[in-house]
Amino acid sequence: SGLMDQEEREAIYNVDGLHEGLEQIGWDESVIWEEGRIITNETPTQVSDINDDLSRELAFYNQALTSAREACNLFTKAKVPFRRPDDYYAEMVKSDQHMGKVRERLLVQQKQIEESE
Amino acid sequence: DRGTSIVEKTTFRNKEKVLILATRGITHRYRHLMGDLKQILPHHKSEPKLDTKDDRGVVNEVAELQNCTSAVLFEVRKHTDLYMWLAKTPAGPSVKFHVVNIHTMAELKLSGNHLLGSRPVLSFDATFDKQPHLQVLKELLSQIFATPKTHRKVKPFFDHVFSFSVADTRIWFRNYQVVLPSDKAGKQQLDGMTLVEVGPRMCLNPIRIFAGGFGGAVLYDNPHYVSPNQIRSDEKREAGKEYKQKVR
Repeated sequence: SGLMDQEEREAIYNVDGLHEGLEQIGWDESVIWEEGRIITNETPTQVSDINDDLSRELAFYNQALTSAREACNLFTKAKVPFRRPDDYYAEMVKSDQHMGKVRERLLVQQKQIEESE
Repeated sequence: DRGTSIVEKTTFRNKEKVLILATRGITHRYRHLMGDLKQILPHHKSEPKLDTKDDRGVVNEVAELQNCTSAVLFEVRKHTDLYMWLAKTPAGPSVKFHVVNIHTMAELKLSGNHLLGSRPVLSFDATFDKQPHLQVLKELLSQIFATPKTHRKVKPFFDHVFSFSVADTRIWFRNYQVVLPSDKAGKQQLDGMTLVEVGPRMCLNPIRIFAGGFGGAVLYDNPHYVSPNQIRSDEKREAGKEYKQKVR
């Protein structure tokens, strides 16, 4: 019966309702960019093969990089300081202990590559 | 009165607060993902596990009590399938996603790191502006994931990007650290910018968009969505076929 449900399920696409919902919550034009820091890229992100990890992740990476560059230009233009000084220390999302393990893993990988060469 | 409305309009401030909670029965892996979200959204508020699985409308009330304007609800079924609700509370709209391809920040291969509480830049794929349902999803994601400038836990400096891409009719989330190399004088160079992935990773498959918070009229029903139960039973049927042929 599960298969039947799937076939009988009618696609719902209420365009007016979606527009209304958007209007209801949407931030209006007067919002200054710095409040949200939202960047929508000009070109759509193209993933040629969704099951190919490398090409998929590269597409996402390039999208994020384009936005990050654009953001830095906007910060510079608006004179918003954004660079973290090298001597600024504060709590990070991952602990020092965790980052130690990450480094260890990278070292082991590097060693394996060197040995196989 | 008119005077204040003009002032309000020109001085709009993002004051979003996001309630993050789970229904009872969440497994440890999904709890880790929820913990990751709490870390990267400093403007969140927590609540103990929700006891009910059927009356999600309660979340609207809990959000209101906590002064939250939106909510993220983790719902786990059969100890395997994760569903995630994003909602503007209490009036909506809201969306229910099936979440797949999860990697948490604890995974060692994601080697990036960033300040706890620094404000992200949100990167959206241009595809989001092409269809009404994606526009609504973009607005929900924006308001929930953007960190308010004036929040007390916020730290200055820009060091990470949240990216949202549309591929294979799903939404893919990534979080990257922004690395700026310094030149000999110690000045950071924008041209040499690179990204290192921090995590978490998740792929959000929209199931339905509702007009209200956690319910109400269905505005969008994804024709491409196949439930994990369906996939499992199809797989079993296929496996069964093979066996029958062997017996003959």
